[in-house]
Amino acid sequence: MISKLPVLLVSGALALACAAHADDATFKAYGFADVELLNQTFRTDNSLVLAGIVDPNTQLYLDHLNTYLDWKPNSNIRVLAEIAYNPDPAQTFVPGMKLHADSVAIFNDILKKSGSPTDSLSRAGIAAGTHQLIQVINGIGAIQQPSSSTKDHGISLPRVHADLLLADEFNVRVGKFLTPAGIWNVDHGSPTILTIKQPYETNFFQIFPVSQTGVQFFGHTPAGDNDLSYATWVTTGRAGAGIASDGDYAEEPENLDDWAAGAHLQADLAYLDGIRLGGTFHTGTHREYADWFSPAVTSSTFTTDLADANFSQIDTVYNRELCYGLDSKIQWKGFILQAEWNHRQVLNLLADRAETNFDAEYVLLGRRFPLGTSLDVTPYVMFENITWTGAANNPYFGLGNYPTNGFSDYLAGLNFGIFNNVRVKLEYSRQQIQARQISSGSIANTYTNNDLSFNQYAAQFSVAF
Amino acid sequence: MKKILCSVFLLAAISFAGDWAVVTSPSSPISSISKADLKRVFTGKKSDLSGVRVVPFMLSDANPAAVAFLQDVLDMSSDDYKKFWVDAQVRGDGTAPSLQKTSATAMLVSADLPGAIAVVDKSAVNATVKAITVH
Repeated sequence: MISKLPVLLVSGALALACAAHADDATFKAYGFADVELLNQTFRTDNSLVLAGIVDPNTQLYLDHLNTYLDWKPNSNIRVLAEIAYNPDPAQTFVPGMKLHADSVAIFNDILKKSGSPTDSLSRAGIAAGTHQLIQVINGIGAIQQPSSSTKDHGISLPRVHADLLLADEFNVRVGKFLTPAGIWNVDHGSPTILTIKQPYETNFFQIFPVSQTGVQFFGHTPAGDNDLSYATWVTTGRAGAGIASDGDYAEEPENLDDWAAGAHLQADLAYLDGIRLGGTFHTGTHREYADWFSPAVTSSTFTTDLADANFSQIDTVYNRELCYGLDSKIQWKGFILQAEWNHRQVLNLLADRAETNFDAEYVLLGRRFPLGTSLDVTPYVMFENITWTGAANNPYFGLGNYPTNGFSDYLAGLNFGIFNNVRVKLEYSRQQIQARQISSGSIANTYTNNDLSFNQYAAQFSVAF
Repeated sequence: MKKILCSVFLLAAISFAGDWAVVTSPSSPISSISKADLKRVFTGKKSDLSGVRVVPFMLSDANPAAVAFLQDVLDMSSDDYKKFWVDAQVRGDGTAPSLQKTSATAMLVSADLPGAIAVVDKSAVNATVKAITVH
């Protein structure tokens, strides 16, 4: 089901577009696609392998086919729709584990194997094996995924918005848009990014919501040879997205009892071959409730007459989040150094504002070497670290029973550029989950970091069209 | 002597082969532009000039003037420029300026469009368009 709000907003903008004369109308369709070859190494006694949830064999699959429809009815209006085929928004279901082509099938498969999401979650308390943690994370992922009935089999709209282009300094965007937070959230396409795998903080552990529906104001202005830009937004927030998925994947309608606001400021400095510095702030609420009714009891059994029943709504989730981050990118003589630090604080408004905090940062370093006409290679390395505290304060995330406080990702690879629209990438990464040893209780364990680590080898072919 | 003259003519030809100019409609209020703003226009970072929404037109890279323009103003090769716009499109930042195969077609589309800013071969500029001073 497609959300009505972005459709209404875009329709309003289109009405304005029609009011203007179409002197220089343009329509362009473009996009990108990529295919990935993936191999992951797990221990043969890994519980995920035993349960058949991960496939340790080498896999080859279409990962993205994103098409952009870009219409400018006149020079003051632009409408952009990005249609993604099989984009499973997080793309990575658990650290290092890729989904199959049809994520609904995986979702159902996991539930079938686990019995139910709750049952899967309850396994968090059972320290059955050295790799139990991964299974727990998988359980959380399953819970956070939209139900199969609302998930639309691999077609989603990462963004559909209309822009009122008023001046360089001030423009208005309405509809569903990618949150302009940091660098990577917007640079999401395989032809643009150096690595195959995105930092987890921009997909699996979304510090900032990937996309939102609402209104955005944006613009930029020169300052000497430098450029200053801003974007600020008022939206319905990240909707039901939890920590491990994009709840808006199914474009479900959202009530307006959730709100969010934020801003991103950026300076592009004309030093070296370009320095970009940015900062982002975002705050919002997230509320979920359950409907209950209390039927009148007429005898020893419940009545079937609902006329006397009492209906009520009870909040099951009500939190407020404060997210902020810094980003930077330095380019010089073929080198690229890119880093982001992001923080998310979640206050549980149903539990005296108890806090859960997430910290995430990554550093990416690469160097481009021309190999000839229309051919270049960029070796790169990346390190990412994600940690959290106070996980039990927000049961919604389901992290309280994890025997871990975070994980790290070490990554190295080669990115070959062929002509200007084809990229071939080879990548190795190692995920190391930071074990939290617990000496007693139902989740007692003696995990070490190495017990929980696993390796991934990947190759990707991407093309922009 | 003939060899010297030939060499001089050859050098002259080479030096003019990559000369570029930026033109607009004669009715456009735009008459001059800084190099920095020109770079912004052709990288999609500036769309207002003298109160007019600009519409940039780029020459095909088969034309030496286009290659020279990219090098002089944007400090990019043709491939770099194409890659720049591939990245920009994926980000949603917009699309590349319309590509014109020849200076003649670039001037043709610019002649009646006050917001047009077209890169053309300097030697091809005629009275149907107005040359913009780049400073």
